[in-house]
Amino acid sequence: MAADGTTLSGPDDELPGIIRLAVTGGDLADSLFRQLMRSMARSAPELAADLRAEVKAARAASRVGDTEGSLHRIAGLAEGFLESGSPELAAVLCGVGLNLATNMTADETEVLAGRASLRNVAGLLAIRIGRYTEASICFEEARSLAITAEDASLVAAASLNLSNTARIAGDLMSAERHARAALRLYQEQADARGQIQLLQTLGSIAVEAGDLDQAEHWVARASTVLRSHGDPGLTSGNHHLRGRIHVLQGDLDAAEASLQLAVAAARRAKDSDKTVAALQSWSAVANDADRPAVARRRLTSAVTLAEQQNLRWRLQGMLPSLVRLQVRTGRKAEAYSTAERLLEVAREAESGVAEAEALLGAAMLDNGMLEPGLEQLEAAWGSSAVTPEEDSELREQVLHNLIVGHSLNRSLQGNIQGLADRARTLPKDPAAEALQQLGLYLATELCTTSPTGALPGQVGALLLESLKLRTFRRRAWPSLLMASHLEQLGQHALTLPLLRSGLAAARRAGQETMIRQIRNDLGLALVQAAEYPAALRLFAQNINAATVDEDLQTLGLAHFNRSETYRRMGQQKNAQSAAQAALQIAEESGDRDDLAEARVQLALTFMDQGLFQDAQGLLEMVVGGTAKPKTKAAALSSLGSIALGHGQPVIAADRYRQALQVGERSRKGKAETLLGLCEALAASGLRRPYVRALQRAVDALALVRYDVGLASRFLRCAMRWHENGKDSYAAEALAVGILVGAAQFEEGDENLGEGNPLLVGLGVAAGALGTEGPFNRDPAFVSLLESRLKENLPKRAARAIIKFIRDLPN
Amino acid sequence: MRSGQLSDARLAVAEAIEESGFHEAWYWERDGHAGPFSSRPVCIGQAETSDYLILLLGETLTEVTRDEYFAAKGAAAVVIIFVPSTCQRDAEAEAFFQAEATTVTYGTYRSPADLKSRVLKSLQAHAVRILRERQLDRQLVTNPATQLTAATGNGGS
Repeated sequence: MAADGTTLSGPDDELPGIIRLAVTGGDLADSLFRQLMRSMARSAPELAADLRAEVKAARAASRVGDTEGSLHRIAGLAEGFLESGSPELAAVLCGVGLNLATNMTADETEVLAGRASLRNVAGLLAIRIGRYTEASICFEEARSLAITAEDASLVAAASLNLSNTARIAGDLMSAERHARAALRLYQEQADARGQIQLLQTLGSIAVEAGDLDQAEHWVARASTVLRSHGDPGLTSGNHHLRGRIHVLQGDLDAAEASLQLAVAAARRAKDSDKTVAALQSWSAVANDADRPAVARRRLTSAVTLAEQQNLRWRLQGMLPSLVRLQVRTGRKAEAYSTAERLLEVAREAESGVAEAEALLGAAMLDNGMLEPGLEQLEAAWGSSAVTPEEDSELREQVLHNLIVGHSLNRSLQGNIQGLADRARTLPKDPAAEALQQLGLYLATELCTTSPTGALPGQVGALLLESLKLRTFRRRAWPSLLMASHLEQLGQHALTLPLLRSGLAAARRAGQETMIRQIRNDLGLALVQAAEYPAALRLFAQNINAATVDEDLQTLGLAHFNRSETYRRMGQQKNAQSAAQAALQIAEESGDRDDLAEARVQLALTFMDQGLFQDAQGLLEMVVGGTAKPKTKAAALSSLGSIALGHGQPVIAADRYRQALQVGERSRKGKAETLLGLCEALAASGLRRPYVRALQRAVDALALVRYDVGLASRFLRCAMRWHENGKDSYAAEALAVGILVGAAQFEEGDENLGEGNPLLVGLGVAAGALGTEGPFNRDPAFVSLLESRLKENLPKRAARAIIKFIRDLPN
Repeated sequence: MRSGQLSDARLAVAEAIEESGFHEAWYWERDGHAGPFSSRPVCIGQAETSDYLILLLGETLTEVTRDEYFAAKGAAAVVIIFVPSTCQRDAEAEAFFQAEATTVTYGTYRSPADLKSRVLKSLQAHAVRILRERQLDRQLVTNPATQLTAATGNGGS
């Protein structure tokens, strides 16, 4: 009976329902049977006619008491249809046959054998729809019935299928036990075909267990039997197995060749399941060989065939890989569609639903469907909560994607607590990773939002919590990495507690190299916080430790950083002395990069003291040497600055241009060099190059964090040109635009397109007023500007900018 | 290198790597096992599947070391070369160094402690770059790096 209420609209749609019916042993109602026959007659008229005749005969035989004959006939037909790729017909026959069998006498051998065959077919059908537990039950029943019926061939077939089911479940020991038992039976019966299948199965089990010697042993034995009893299907199995062994041996060329042969042989055998399996492995080899497009094409062929033949369990194994390959080859929309199909298949099989939801959620995010993607990920989190330990790795990935998704959706800050609470449900290490990720993403958001409020404190607390979840031996390294990352984001204040915690852990674990590295980085963070004496103490500790064991790397860095600290403290002689020590160590170590950097540092200390000739000599050595581009650019920029200060704007402009050509400086370094070039060109009176450089400086400044020093230099440079009457170019408008833009960027509004009303308004106002004279002397302009700023910016930012403009020197 | 002159250096590199608590070092003298097989494929297999390869280049360069180096480089591992500051390389080693120094990170060292600091610094710089790139590349959240699964069987029975 169609007890589950399956509705029939066509062979493809109804298949899982029919198979389920066959597996559970129900019969088909007459009306349903007729409906099925009609739909099959449309799609395969010859088969349906044969089937109708056979089933009618079987039913008739049953009615007159010849149940054995009818059951035998049906079981044989069901096996035949399954092997020839017509699972729907096999399923119908299974249902009919099992229903007939319930009316028969249990101890008759023929009946038992027929029932065993049908349970075996039902198990294979169950595998096709991904119902492994039911498949296993069917095979166990089949084996038990076959033993009672003393049918060794059937016992062996059921054992082989039990072995395959155990392999799918990852129980390799049971799989091997069943396979060896089946092999013995086939050997006793001298069944060569059965032996080859079992030898290949044992080879596959050995591959999955990573036992290559054993795998080679089984494949060699299978090859021996295959020479006298081979057919394309079995040959394909051997090539496939050899391919998998080659993959594990790392010989991808040999694997590629073997799997190509496996695919060809499986196609000759018209064995869809083997063809799909071989294509899947062939695709994996292409992926391993870094040929993702080829891998995708092969896997797409496998999936298409599996869809046509309703090989659900193969589909469920392949679709996640296909999604990933489609993403990797830039086919995000296809990946989304495949992920949707995966979820359908998983829901039908009632397994792997959480993984499918997770993958679909991720694919949605990749396609810009942020809200539904986050909903799908929430569903995946919920589905994985049923077996959280089993799905721990999946939950880690889902949480990772939830964090990324909320970040893309700009909803991270509103979900901090919920995400952190979820992280805390994971095991300690993944929890630490998730909290670290959450903290660092939020730290990135800090760069574009106001530094005030609760967020910095929350970020700091999350990152510290992530550290404390680690054992003390594994605490120092992430503290170093997080601090370096935060340093690059300009979040200096957040690094101090992390590095202090890391230093304490490294001391406790006796990690001497780590201690030195953290002391160095902590010292630099303290310099940023203007805590110079504390920084100097740390550098001194490193000098003491590193002197003992000739750790020149630590020693050189400590002296170099002491020099910079003294420069900031205004202690120029100490700065020079420390830089000289750093230079001496670099000369000892023979490290060319360290040497060049030390020379630039020493030159800067000379410049601070007005010793420009000494500085120039050192900088010229760096420029003429083999230093890194970044160091050379810094040296050239400093030479430009010296030339400009000595009334040589043309030489200065040349130096700045060279610095820009050398490249590879930080964004801020590039902006500073461009400003230097503007200043030099303004002083040279070269109008066109000046305007071009000014425009490049505008672009460069837009990419760096707001910096009052840079903005002031830019503004003064632009005004100097304007006040000297060199050009009608609206310098003020440009300067104010940059200043406001930089401040606005700090406030979190990145929409600085040309249509931005604030910039347009400012541009018009400044342009109009700029022609009447320098704007800082014009109260009307400042008043207009103030009103515009207050309308469009937070009060704090508006006040700061107005104050800055009012305080500008004439 | 297999010569005794670099044994302290090899140990120093391994210690520096393992101080992180997250990375595990492997080198034949400490981690290889004696057995009736050639060490060459084992060493090359390790090099190919490592995240980093740190080459200590002394006076000479053995064939196995060269093969390990190129196996790791071919497998897109991060390779870093360190040379002792007072070492006189033979012609072959020098030619190798001159060719490779243009494409990979390298440095000199004075003592084992110096080498440890340089190794840790290199790992830190690389790990932070990865962290930053991963965060910048957040437009793609499905995980394409995950290995694809090979078929689990040879077809049904």
